[in-house]
Amino acid sequence: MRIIVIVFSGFVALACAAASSTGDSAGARAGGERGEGGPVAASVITAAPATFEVALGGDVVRRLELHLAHGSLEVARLILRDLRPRAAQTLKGVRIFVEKPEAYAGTPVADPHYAGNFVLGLEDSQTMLWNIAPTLSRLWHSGALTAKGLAQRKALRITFVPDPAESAASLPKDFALTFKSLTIELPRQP
Amino acid sequence: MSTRREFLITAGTGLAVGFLYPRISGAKGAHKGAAPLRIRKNVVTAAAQSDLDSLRKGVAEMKKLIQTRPNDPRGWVLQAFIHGDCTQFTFCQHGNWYFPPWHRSFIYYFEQLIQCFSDNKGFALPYWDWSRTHSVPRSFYGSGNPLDDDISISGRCQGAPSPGRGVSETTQLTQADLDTYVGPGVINSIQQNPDYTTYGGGNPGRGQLEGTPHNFIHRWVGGVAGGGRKVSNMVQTFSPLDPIFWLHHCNIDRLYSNWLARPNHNPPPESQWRDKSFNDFYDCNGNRAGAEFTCARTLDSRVMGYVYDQTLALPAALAVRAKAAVSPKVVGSVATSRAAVKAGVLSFVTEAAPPEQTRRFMNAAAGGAASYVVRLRIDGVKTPKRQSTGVHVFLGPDVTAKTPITAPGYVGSFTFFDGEGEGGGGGGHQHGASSFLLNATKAVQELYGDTSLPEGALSVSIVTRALAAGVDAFATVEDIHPDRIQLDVVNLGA
Repeated sequence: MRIIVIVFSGFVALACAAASSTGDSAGARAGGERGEGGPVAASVITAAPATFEVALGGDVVRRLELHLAHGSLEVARLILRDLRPRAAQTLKGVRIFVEKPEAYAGTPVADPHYAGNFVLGLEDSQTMLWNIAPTLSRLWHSGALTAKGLAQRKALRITFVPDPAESAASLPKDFALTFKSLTIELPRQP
Repeated sequence: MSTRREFLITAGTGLAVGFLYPRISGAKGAHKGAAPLRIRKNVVTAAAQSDLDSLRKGVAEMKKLIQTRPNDPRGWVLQAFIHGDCTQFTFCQHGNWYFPPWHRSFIYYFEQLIQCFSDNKGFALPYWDWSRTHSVPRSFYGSGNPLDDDISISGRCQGAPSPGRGVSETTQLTQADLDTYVGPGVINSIQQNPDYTTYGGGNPGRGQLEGTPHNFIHRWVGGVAGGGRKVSNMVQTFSPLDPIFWLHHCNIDRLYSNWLARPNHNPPPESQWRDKSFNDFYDCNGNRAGAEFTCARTLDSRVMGYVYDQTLALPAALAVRAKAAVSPKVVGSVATSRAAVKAGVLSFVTEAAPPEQTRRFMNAAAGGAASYVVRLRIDGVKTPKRQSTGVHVFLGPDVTAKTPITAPGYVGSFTFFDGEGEGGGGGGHQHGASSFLLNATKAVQELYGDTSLPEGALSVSIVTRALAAGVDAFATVEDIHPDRIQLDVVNLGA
């Protein structure tokens, strides 16, 4: 099991400060795609499930907790930026789980931690978006996600589980999906 | 510029009007010449067969142009090259918020070309609903069949696939594929997402509609490379070479229409999106086209002259979501399950007058308060055997079997579409009960906008009529008798 922590506190602070001033959105970013804080080494998903810890700013944690407590969380965006595949011809798709670092190939999509998936397009670089609000709400109501836990860790763990196509027994050794950043944004709720 | 709320009201009534009386001459922003609305249908149904015949004829003509007029932009290969050439995407929009509207225009102009080449001005592009039909339809296979994936451009593009798809006509989507990527549960979940950015795409960023079912079907039809396995045009930048591309994207477009019709589902408000148009296509005369359709203008597909057969029949999951009534945005409700039939009219009357707070919110909606919508939920509607039936819903008293849909209090209409399957695991009958959601705000405004809601109970009436002229056998209100009706006041929070 690999858990990779990707935190870039300088940029988180910038993002949150900007969000506070506008009131339109808040975000926690891991990575420096805008370049404010300097380069961040690219992260990699290989054939084995990989978990990334996405830091949340204090303001985001408070707003997230508020919306979850009031049942009003409708949109929480998970953003994977600049994903670049290598040796991915036999990749069927990648499933995504929230707060489930033990997720593996056999974890079903009916698992309450399941948040969605992606199938690669044809572009060299791909940015992808998911709304993980239903998953967060589900976890909150079940007690798997708590105010105490959020306040203590100030992060969410996102696990990617690559699935090979049925016709391929496994993904090749050189299979890799590198990406620049993984972000959670909490926009104004619709 | 219309507000989102105005669009919802238009969709809630106008679509139904268009469906039953397929002409939109009076519709705001009507398409040129106000021709009858085209109804795009499920390809595996009997109703779509004449369109399928026209498609076959039109595609054959476009494929002939490859040889006879190789520089004609209406030819089959050059149409595909609008999407992508040998090495890269050309004009198509992927991985951003233009994905739904660009492909809407792309298939619209393709539909126009098929109309010309098949000499059928009424042609409507059918869709392949892979959630219910779990294989590529059989009508897209066969030697000499222009709808087969029988074109290879390997002479022009190095490494281009040989003819033939990555799946055969007997290959079925697996249960795991359905559960994860394209089944009804997945699609319902994606369609319920109220956030356009994560649904249709961001600026930039690939939304779930593109990243899950769209991409999956391209790869599933196209096949997996390696080990001597066959891959096909569907996993190339020039994927429109495979005729099934157009029906796949028609289904994606159908889902986009469905998403837009849902309460509180708003497209991007930014002018960068709303005012964007794509002059990337060609009309019947081979002239460049597309500039007239901005993203905002095409939100209502009637502007382009078409609707889908299922637009108003919202999926059961939406009804379940509404039934849960856990959303704090529903600020008041009043229900009724007492009904009586008289002279062909099924009338529900609420058990009691709406509670004071609900009444206050309804009056706010009636008075035009922008943030309040009155939603009518009809549960337990029986699917009749005679499906050529239009069901019309009215709010208020004194409704008769002949009350016109132009009368004040008309809420909207719905019909049934539970088509016959061509095989391949989909399209079978499901004679069960359904739920429908209608936007009743306009009806409330018409009836009570200048006064206020009556003090007593509210009534909702339902009548059935033939779906089209010439149809004399249709279901009665007893045949479709719903179990209950509920009026919800929804605070959109605008």
